[in-house]
Amino acid sequence: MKKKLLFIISLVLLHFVHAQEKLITRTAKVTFESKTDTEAFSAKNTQVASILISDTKTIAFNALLKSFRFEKALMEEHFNEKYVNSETYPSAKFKGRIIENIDLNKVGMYDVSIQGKMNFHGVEQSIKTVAKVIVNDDHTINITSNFKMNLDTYQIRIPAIVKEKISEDIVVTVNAHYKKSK
Amino acid sequence: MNQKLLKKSFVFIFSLTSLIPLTGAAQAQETEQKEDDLFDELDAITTKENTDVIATFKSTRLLLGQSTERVRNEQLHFRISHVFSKIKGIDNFFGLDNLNNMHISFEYGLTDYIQLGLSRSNKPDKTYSTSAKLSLIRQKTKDGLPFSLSYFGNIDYKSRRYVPEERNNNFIGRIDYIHQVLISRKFNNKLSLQISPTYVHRNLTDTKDDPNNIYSLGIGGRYMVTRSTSLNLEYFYTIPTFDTHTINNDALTIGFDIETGGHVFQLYFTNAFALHPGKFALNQNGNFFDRDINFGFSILREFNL
Repeated sequence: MKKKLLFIISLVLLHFVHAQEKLITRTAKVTFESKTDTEAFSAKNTQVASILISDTKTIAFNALLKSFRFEKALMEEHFNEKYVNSETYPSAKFKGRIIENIDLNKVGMYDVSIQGKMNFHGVEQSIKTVAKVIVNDDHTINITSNFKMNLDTYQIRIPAIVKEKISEDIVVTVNAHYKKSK
Repeated sequence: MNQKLLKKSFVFIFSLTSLIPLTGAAQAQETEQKEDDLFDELDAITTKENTDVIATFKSTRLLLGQSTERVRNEQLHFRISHVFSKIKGIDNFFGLDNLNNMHISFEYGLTDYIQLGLSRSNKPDKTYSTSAKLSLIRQKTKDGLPFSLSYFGNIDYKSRRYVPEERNNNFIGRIDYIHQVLISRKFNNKLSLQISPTYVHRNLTDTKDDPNNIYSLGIGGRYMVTRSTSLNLEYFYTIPTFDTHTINNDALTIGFDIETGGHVFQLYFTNAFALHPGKFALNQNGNFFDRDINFGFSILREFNL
């Protein structure tokens, strides 16, 4: 009888060992910048949702394109209407993994690589980028990253008339602060 | 330790070891499932976007008249519009030698829903205008009303010199009021239509036969020709409540919106001589079908204040 109990307890324990720890944020910041010789502009989305699973080191992002704020309202409208067709493709999604073997439960600062798939404007593309991971004392985690996206790759065409104003390569900056989900 | 216990513990260890690869396999299968779930979870925690339909028109003017598009919060639109004279031959370079009207306007977004404007038209009355546009209903992509509705109110002050002196000194007689209800619907990414019931009240008219109150119905729309260019049409049908009314003198305008990254150009052909609704909605335009057609254009630049 004692052994049977032990058996059940060990099964339950086994389950706990494999239970994943999930960290989330609803207010990750994503900015993108375009810079050419004639014009520079940027846009910011402060309502990006992201989930980080600490044991598998899986990371996923969801950014609604309509939530990007531009300095000029007309630009924002043209961005949604003409360039990213946000009514057809409402969001940009990313899912990937931290390649390095780091322990996300251990306080510290890590330089890592993240490999994954970006789904944007109806195009899925494998990307790899470097990121900085900070595990804080209170078990929250910060991730910052910076990478380039080529508009042509995602089938976003720039009309000839504005070629000089919009860069083909957009610099994207990601800044997320994760907390344990309840 | 008796034999029975040994056997039992063997079964126990065996069952444990056999369980480990089993859970491993189950996990591998789970991963794919988990990834889909992950996006469902993400969708659930993403702050929802606002469902207002955007870009019904490229500009706050359909062509001559106002559209339901608005100047957003803390944005300033500076617009210069021109209309030249009749396109009749090379003698006056297809009308470009003479300018019928130049309209300068500043429109400011007090909030996303209130737009205030100041403008001036040079000919014929040296008119100063103050206006307000209230965005009352926005068409929604889902779960909302299927159209947008705005109110546009405008007061014109005609500052030109009048004769006789008595007329010149009549301040009240220099003022006109314009009220418009703008109702639009974006049917799809290419086609948007608008109707704009318009009421013009002039305190004082040139002759006794001229009516003080004029009612018009603006009808118009746009069709996207390319991603950056739309073909627009606008017609102001003046309701024949007065004797001097001639259907051919209603304002008819055909033109293009050309958007070039933050700027919008409009090019149009119209039988109207003036660019403010207090004048073009009065049934006093040229006859479009008798080649009384003028070329005009407007340039819009947006500033973020």
